[in-house]
Amino acid sequence: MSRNRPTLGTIVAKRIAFFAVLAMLVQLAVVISDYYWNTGELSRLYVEQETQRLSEGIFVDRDTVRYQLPQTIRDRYRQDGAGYLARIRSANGTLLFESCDPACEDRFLPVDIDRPDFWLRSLKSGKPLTLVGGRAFFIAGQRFLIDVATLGDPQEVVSDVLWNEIIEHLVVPMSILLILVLGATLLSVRQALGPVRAAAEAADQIDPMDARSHLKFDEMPREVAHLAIAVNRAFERVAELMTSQKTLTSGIAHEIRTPLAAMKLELGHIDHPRARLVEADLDDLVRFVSQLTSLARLESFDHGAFETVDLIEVSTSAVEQVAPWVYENLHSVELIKDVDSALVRGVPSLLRDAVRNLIENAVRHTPERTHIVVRVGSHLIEVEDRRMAAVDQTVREAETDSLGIGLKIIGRIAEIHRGKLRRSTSASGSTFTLTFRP
Amino acid sequence: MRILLIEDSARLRDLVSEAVRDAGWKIDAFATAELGRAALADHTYDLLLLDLGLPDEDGLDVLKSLREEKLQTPVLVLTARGAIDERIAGLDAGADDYLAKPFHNGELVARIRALMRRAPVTSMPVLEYGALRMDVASRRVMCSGAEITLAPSEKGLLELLMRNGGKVVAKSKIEHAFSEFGDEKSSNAVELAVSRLRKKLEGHRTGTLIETVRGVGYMMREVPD
Repeated sequence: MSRNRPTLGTIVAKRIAFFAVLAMLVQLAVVISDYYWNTGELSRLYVEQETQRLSEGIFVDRDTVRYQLPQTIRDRYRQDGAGYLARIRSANGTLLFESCDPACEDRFLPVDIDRPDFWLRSLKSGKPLTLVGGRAFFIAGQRFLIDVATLGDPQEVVSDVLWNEIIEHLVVPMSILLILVLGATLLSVRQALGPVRAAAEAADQIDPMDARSHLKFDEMPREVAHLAIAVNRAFERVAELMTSQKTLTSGIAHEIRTPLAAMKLELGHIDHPRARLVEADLDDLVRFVSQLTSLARLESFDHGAFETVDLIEVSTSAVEQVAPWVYENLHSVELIKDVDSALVRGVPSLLRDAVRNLIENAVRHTPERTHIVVRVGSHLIEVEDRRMAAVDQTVREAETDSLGIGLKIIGRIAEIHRGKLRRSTSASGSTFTLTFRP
Repeated sequence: MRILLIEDSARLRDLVSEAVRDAGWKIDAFATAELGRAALADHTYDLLLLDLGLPDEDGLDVLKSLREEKLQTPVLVLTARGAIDERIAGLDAGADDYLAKPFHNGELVARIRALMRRAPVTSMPVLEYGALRMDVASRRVMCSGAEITLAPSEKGLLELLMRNGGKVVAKSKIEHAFSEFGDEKSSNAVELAVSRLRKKLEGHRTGTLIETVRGVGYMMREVPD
C-alpha cells in the first residue's frame, strides 16, 4: 500500500479545518455587514477604541503626570483640520493634551459637570462617521477623561476599528475553538480507531496462504468486529478451498496413476522395443501429470505447515533419495556442507522436493559422467553441474526451454518460503541457487 | 515366501499378482481393508503390499492400526499419491517403503527383494544382491560358487550394504555399525574399510559396485556385467 495515502486522522483534520474556515468566512461576512449597517454600534466601537489608543500615552510617575501622543496616531492629532479632535484631562481638570479647534468647547461636554464614564453623540447620521464622545480611564489610581471627535473620518479609522473587532472577537476566539475542537476530535478519532489500526496491522501480518489465519475481534468495537468476522469468514472459505484443491489434486493423481500403473505393468510383459518406447512415453506423461498436480498443490499451499527446518538435513535426505537414480543414469552426486546447521522456517517435504528436482533436472539436462554438487550454506542451497567438457551455448539455450514446469515448481517452492531461485552459468555448467531469508 | 496384496483395482490386483508369482513367490490378493485384515488374522505373511486408496478405509489408517496391533510384517505401500509429503506420511504411519504408481514389474520385484533383505535375519537367512550371496548365520560370502574371504568388519559392512542394496547408507550409520563390530569409529576407518572391501570384491564378477556419495555415505548398486 502506498505511503502517500492519507491517514484517517489527516482526512478528518483537513475536513474540520475546511469547515472551520468556511464557518469563519460566513461569520466574518455576517459581522462585517452587521457592523457596517449599524452606525450606532460602529460609533460606540470607534469611541471605545480611539480613547483606548489615546490613553496609552498617559504616564503617571508618583505625583507627576505627563502625556505623550502615541506614535501610531500622531498624524491624526498633530495636524490642524485633519478631521480628528481630542482632549485629555485629569479628574481635577488639569489638561494633559488637546488637539482642538475653537469649536471644541461646543462639542465636548463642559468641564464643570459630573462626567459619565462613557458618552457618545452622533453629529451626523450615516457614514462617514461624524461623532463626538468620551470615556473615563483609571490609571495608577487616578481618573482621566478622554474626549474624541471625528468630522467625516477622513483617514477611515473606522476600518481599523472594524478590523480590531474582527480579530478580537472573531479570529482569536474561533482559532482557539478550532484548535480545541480539532485536537479533541483527532484524539477521539485516534482512540476510536485504535482497534481498527490494531486490526489493520494484524491483517497486514496475515499470511493469505496460511489456513489458520484469522483476526482477533474480542476487544474490537461492534462495527469493527463485524469487519473482522467477515475477514475471518473469507479466510475460512480460503481454507476450505485449499482443502478442496488438495482433495481434487489427490483425486486426479489417483484416478490417472492407477490405470497408468496397469498399463505399465501390462507393457512389462511385452518383449518388444516398441513397448519400451511406449513405456518411456508413459514415464514422460506420468512426470508431466505429477508436475501439474504438484504445481496445483503449491498454489493452494498452507503456510500453517511451516516448521524449523535444517537445510543440511533436507539436502542430505534429498541426495540419499535421488542418488541411486543419479548413479543409474551414469552421473555422480556430492553433498558439501559449508555450515554445521542451516535453520530456516519452511516445509521439509517441499524443500526436499525442490532439491531433488534440481538434482533430477541437472541429470536430465547434462551429459553422462557429469558430477553434481549440492552445496549448503547458512541460508542457501546450490546445485551445480560440473560437466566434463565445456558447454555449447546453443545446447544450453535448448535446455533452458525444456526445464519449464520443473523450474516453475522449484521457483514456486522458493516463493512460498519467501526465497529466490537464481541460475548462473559458466563454461563448465550451470548453478541453481535457492536462497532463503535469514 | 508369501505376500499379501490389498488393492482395490481388480486390474492392478491381477497384474501385481502375476508379477509376484512370476518372481516365484506366493500371493493372496484382496480388494478391501476388511478382507485383508481377515487374511492377516488367519495367515502369516512375509510382506504386505498395501494400496492407500481403499474403498472401505484409508490405507494409512489401516497401516497405523496394524502397527498398533504390533504387526511386524514389512509393508510396501503402493501409492497413487505422488506428493512427497504424502509418501512421508506413509512412512510415518509405519510403512517400510513406498512405491509410487505407476511402476514397472522389475521395480516392484526389486523393492520386494530389498525389503526382504532389510528384514530381520530370520526372514532371510541368505542375503542375495547381484551375484553376491551371504549366509547371515555362518557369515560366509560367496560369488558364483567361489567363497570370498573377508575380515569380520568387512563382512559386517558388506551385510549392511547388501541389506540396503540400491540405497545410500549414511556414513554415520556405518560408523555406528563399526562401533558394534568393536572397531574404531573414525570416518577414516570407514573409508579404509570400504576401500579394502572394494579391492577384495574387485577380482570377482559380483555384478555390484560400491559407489561413494560424497558428503552422505556409500551405496551398493547392481551393474550389468
